[in-house]
Amino acid sequence: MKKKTVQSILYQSFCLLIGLMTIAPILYAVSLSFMEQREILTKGIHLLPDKIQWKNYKEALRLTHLVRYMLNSLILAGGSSVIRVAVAGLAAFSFAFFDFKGKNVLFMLCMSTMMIPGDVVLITNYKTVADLGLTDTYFGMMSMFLVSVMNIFMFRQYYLTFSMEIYEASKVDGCGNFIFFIKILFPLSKPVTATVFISSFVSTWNTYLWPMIVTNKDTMRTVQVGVTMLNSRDGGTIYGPIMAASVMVLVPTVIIFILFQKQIAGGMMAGSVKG
Amino acid sequence: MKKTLSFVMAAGLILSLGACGQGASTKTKAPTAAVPEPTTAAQTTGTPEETKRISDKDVEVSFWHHMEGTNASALETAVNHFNETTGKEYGIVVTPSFQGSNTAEKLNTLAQAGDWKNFPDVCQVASAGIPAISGYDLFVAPEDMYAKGEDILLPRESIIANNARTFTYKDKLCAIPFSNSTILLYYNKELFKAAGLDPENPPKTIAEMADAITKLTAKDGNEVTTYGLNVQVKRYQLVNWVGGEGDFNFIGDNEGGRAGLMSKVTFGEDGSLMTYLNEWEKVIATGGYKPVEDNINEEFAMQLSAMAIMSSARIAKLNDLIGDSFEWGTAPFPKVNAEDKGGTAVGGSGIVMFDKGNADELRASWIFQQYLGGEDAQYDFCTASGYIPMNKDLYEEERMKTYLSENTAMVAAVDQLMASNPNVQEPFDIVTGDINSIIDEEMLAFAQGTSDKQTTHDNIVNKCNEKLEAYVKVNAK
Repeated sequence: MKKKTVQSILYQSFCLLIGLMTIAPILYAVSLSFMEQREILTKGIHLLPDKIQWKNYKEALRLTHLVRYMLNSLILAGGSSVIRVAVAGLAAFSFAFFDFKGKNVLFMLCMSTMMIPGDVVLITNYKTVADLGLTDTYFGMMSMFLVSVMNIFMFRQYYLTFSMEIYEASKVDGCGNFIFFIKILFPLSKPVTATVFISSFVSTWNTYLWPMIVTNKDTMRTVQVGVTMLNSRDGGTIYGPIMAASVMVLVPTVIIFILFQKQIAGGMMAGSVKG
Repeated sequence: MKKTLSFVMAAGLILSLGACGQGASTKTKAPTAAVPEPTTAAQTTGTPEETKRISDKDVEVSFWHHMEGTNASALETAVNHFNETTGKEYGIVVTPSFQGSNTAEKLNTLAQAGDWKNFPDVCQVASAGIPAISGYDLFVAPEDMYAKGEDILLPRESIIANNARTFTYKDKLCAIPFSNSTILLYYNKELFKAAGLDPENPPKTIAEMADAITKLTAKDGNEVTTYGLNVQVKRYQLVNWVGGEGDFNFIGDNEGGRAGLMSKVTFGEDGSLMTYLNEWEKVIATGGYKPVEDNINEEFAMQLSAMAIMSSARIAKLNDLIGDSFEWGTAPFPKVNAEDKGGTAVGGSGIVMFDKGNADELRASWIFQQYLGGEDAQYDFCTASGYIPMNKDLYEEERMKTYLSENTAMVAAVDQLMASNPNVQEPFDIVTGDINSIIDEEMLAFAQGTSDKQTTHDNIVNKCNEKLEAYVKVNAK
């Protein structure tokens, strides 16, 4: 018993240490965002601000249209993540539940696209989007993030653990494929849906290159571009406002994570017991 | 269900194949540029105010730039000022937009995709992008506009020769210089005094700098607490040192790429690279030289380095960082040898314009392009950002004289730029990124003692030539 307690304390201390190490840079960034320039640039270790001041936040908002950029990023990340979940879910449904000729070949073909680096197809993708007249539009920005093979794979793997008997029983009861997907399969797939949505939202939220290439107007910029606009190669780095902008930019992704955290945890446990 | 699914998939595949085929066969030629119709009404000389408007409707000009932070604010102020003054007179409205730190790369993406309609009217580009940009069908060189002689607001002679040369390719001025700088030595006067050095007499050569580093370096046991010098030698620094040797040095063939495609570096065969490395070895031997730039501005401001080599565009930032903490100054870039007369290259960006087939827009773009090089825009932008004005006439004005008398750190930059040979320039080496990486990597290995002088020399020369050769092989017509 005693041995178990010691083990548990050691394990939890280790987890706490790893957790603190992970979150430390973020906490330090938050602290820096409240510091004066002179406090940031000190030789000694200076972890906390002498006094909380909002100057850096005001400066970040003055130098860039961060609120507008956050709205753009929210539309981009939110919209593309919702569509991505729908597309990946439906595609995975066909791969997991249907039996058709060439299914495995098609699946392998899809998976093989993961080996093509995004940069290689950047110009071709841009050409397609420009020819369709989608530059400077939200749809043009989203277009590259609507389908992810990795997400199809994740959904498929999850669906493969789903009982085929339920699917067949629902069919006997006269339930069509789409109704089965919407009413039975999708509600029972919350963990994988949450995982895909969060990973999609965070990765799209953090995207820099594609939104920068496909838009030309300042009003269509995203938050990542906004943060870059505060940096200056010749003018040097203004750490305070950059940290303040980074903290502001971080908020939506943290909210999304908190909202879906329960589902992820639930999903992990749901997969642990079979039968 | 199976049949429907097969049909949808087949249709999808056919569509995607069709899209690929279309992509491959689409010509990447730009639409033919419209020849601007000569309009006498808007000529500057003797034109009545009311006839200056280009059109009944305001002409909109899109302007792409790569300025960030406080420099972006300074640029936007200049654009707003144009819209309120000259723009209003001519009926021009300019909309600036930030396009990332490398506008030339974005233009290149659009050009490769053949998306000419989304090109801007006016764009700020770094000098390295000029050879590629001047090849676009839409490109209009200021040299040609000067030759036409219409709507001249900025006389060609007002542009300082060195700055003009920076943006000259195949004898044509391809951009109006805008945000220009030069490389300088920054030094901490108080640390100079403490080390027994004369703060009014900073090192003039690399050898003198090496002596100063030895005296300025402070150690706590084996750990350096204050470095004598901080600079990471990359392409920018190296071409300034080598370029300034003797009267001047082109670095590469075809006048360093300005008379034609640069196919090889010449600093190996003429011995100038080895001359530089012989001197630089003295700096490395001091043990007080920091060869990596982490936060060079901030480290200098925190007195972690006594000297630093940086662009003059950092003066404003250092003023802001240092404030009244200690006394510091700028000095000319230390020469390789005392007898060198070349000076330094002009760094920074210029303004190019494109003809998208609308004569009114082209005229408006030309007027705006010149405005950015005019006295007012240069004064406002440069004093707010720390760049060196490229307009010769501005230096005759009282406001500029006052500014320089109040900002002594800028004086060294201006004097050095004016005294330099215009042939000292960063080369148009096309594969700039690759060459930068090669020099950075090799010079770092040399500084850290993992590569000897001869190997460093040979690697820089051979690797740069390999990259240039590969480019020429694919692209030379």
